[in-house]
Amino acid sequence: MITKDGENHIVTPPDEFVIHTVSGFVKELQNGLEECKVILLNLIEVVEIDSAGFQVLVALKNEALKRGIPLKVIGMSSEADEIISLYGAQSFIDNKR
Amino acid sequence: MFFSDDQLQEAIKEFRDEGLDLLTGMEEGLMAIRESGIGGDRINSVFRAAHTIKGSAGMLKLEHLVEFTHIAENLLDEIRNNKITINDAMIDTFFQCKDHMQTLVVFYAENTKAQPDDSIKSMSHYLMGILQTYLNTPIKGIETVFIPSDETQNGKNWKIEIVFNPDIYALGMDPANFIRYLSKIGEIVDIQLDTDRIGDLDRIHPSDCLIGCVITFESDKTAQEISDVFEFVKDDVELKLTAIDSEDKVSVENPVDEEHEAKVESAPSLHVDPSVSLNTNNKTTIIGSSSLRVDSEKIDTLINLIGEMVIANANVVQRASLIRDGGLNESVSAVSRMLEEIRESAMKIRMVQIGETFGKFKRIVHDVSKKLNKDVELVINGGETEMDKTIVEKISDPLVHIVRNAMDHGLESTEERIAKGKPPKGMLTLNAYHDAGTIAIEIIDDGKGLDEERIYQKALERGIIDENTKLTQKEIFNLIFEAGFSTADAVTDLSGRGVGMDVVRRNIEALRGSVDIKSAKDKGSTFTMRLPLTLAIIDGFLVKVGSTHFVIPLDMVVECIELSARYRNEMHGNNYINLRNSILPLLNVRNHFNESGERKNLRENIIVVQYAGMRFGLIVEELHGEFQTVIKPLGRIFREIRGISGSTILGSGEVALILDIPILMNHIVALQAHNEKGGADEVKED
Repeated sequence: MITKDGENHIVTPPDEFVIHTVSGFVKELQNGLEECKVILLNLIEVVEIDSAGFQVLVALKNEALKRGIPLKVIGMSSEADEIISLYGAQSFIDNKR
Repeated sequence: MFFSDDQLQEAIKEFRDEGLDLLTGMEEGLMAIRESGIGGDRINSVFRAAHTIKGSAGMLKLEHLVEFTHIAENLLDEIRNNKITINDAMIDTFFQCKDHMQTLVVFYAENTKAQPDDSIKSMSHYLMGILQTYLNTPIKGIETVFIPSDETQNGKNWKIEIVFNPDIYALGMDPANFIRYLSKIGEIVDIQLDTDRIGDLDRIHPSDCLIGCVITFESDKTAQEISDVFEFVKDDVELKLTAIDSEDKVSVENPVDEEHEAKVESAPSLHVDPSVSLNTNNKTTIIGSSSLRVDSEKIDTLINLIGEMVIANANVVQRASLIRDGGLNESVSAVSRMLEEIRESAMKIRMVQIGETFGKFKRIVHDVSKKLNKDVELVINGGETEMDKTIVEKISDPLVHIVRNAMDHGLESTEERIAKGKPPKGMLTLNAYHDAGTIAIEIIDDGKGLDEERIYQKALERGIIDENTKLTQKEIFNLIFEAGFSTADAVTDLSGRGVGMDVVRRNIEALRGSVDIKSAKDKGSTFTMRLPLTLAIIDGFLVKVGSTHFVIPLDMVVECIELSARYRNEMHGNNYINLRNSILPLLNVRNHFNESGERKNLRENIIVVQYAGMRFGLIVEELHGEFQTVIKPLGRIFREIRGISGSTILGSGEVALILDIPILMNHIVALQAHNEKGGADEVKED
């Protein structure tokens, strides 16, 4: 889900962020981030995430880097944190951590 | 992966259970391919089954199975990539391969460390030869199959470079699980993800696996042990392992087969979690997020314990009722209610769908119809009907026998059918449904039907009956269940040996079930098996006659009525009454079982029971009401007593006998039949 708050876009992946749900979510991201100045990534609702979900997070970060806009993590569930840590991508996804 | 003996035995047991499930799925997939082609996910599902079996077998070092499955898998891979077109002969070979893989799986499960004998190996080579002829290009030699060797190269710090195949998600694999498992056998010091490989939102293919990384790993495991972590996906991962703290750098690269980098079309996930599957210390295997594979012995133990609790609770209930303490009785009732819920929940664990058993008949019907050169269509209804797993397992062989008989003796050849004006294709129907506390399974064919006259003559010739024996049509049909009876003109390898149908009936009756035949000439036959829902604990209705308690399965009880003076007058010494304008045959339990115990009062009651669509009344004396009945088998001495199917223990410690309603029903039907033939004198109770 993507909601707008001024120039900020709050990106909230589905609670089951897995291979069966990633395609739909990527389409949503491809169409919903126009004119976005800041991506606020809320992972607090993610209760299940696999590598397919994780790689979408990496793609989102790559997208932010390509556009030169910041990506800030504003919410983190333990499940999301576990897989991001597993792949050693904490600082890549959220360079404030 | 290195196992202790106990771990190996346990792992192979799990492998057998999982392997047999996969092979069942493979057979269903092959049947579906025969019917509808390789489209959809059909060829992928068969490939995945072979692939997973090979992977598991490799991990357990079951080399012969790996070698054999590898070639079958190669051919399946070529087919799914449209490089080779599948045909009927190829499907038949795959069926044979599936059977042979099953033989190998069972062999290894029973002979953990032995090698298959020459007969098994001969079959392997025979089938591998056929598979090779289907592969247009020479296949890789067996020696190229990746099997973990005993390499013992050691290191402390390792660099592991991994790139997963994009198709790996379609195989139900998640790279994260392998990395998690890696962390169990050592320490992941650093992990560098290749983020460029994933790309941005414009480039990402979300259903492809884009994971590649370099791991700095600290472990005292050997290169082989570390590479074994990826055994499950060895065909779908590029793996480079380097010991970075050794002067002589050891590099082990897996032989990723270029030919195997084939695309897998979108497929539902077949979840294999190595972190769980490889854990041999636990008998329970996690199949998916919502199901568990539990050793059936554990469930049996649980149900036995609940059975003992039910008996102990009955004793508590009885003692509490004597104390007449309202509060205590209330508490005891609450515990009883909960115990009943626990019992029902535990019994549900054992319930499985009959469809799993029915499914294998597609293959049997296909094989047998081919052998007999008969065109047969199989129709399955009620596959979702649930029954106790033990019963499902035990009825499998009788069902196979009846189905084979129906195809061999019942259904006519295509020419015969056309000559009779019937559709050229014979119809075989398997139905399952619940009926008054039982499961009814029907095997219906639209063949020539049983030949009453011929069966009678055969029985005469074989001395099963004599010339003076007068039999009803039903009794004549039942002669086919007599030992040594066969009317087949030629003994075939399918049926007609005169052994089998008697065993069929005996097996069904041993399960407290019954089998019934209806048949009409040139219309076909219906074999109906009726089986109890469960063999362990049932809801019963407790009654007493003289000094003996009897239990009637509650599902079969329709109503209880008093045997009033009006009914006694109606009976006039006969064994039936007019119940609301219907004739209700009666069986006096006291007379039937020669019960001589003292009668406490003169009042008698009729318990109306129903079975197989028929009703009759049991005359009993005291009614004690519903009772949770833990079924205990009768001892060997009492096993032959007709009309008693088991026993149970009451709260007082006394034994109650469980009435076998199907047998008593048969007794009543036989009495009625003889009454019609021989006059009222023969209707008296025995």
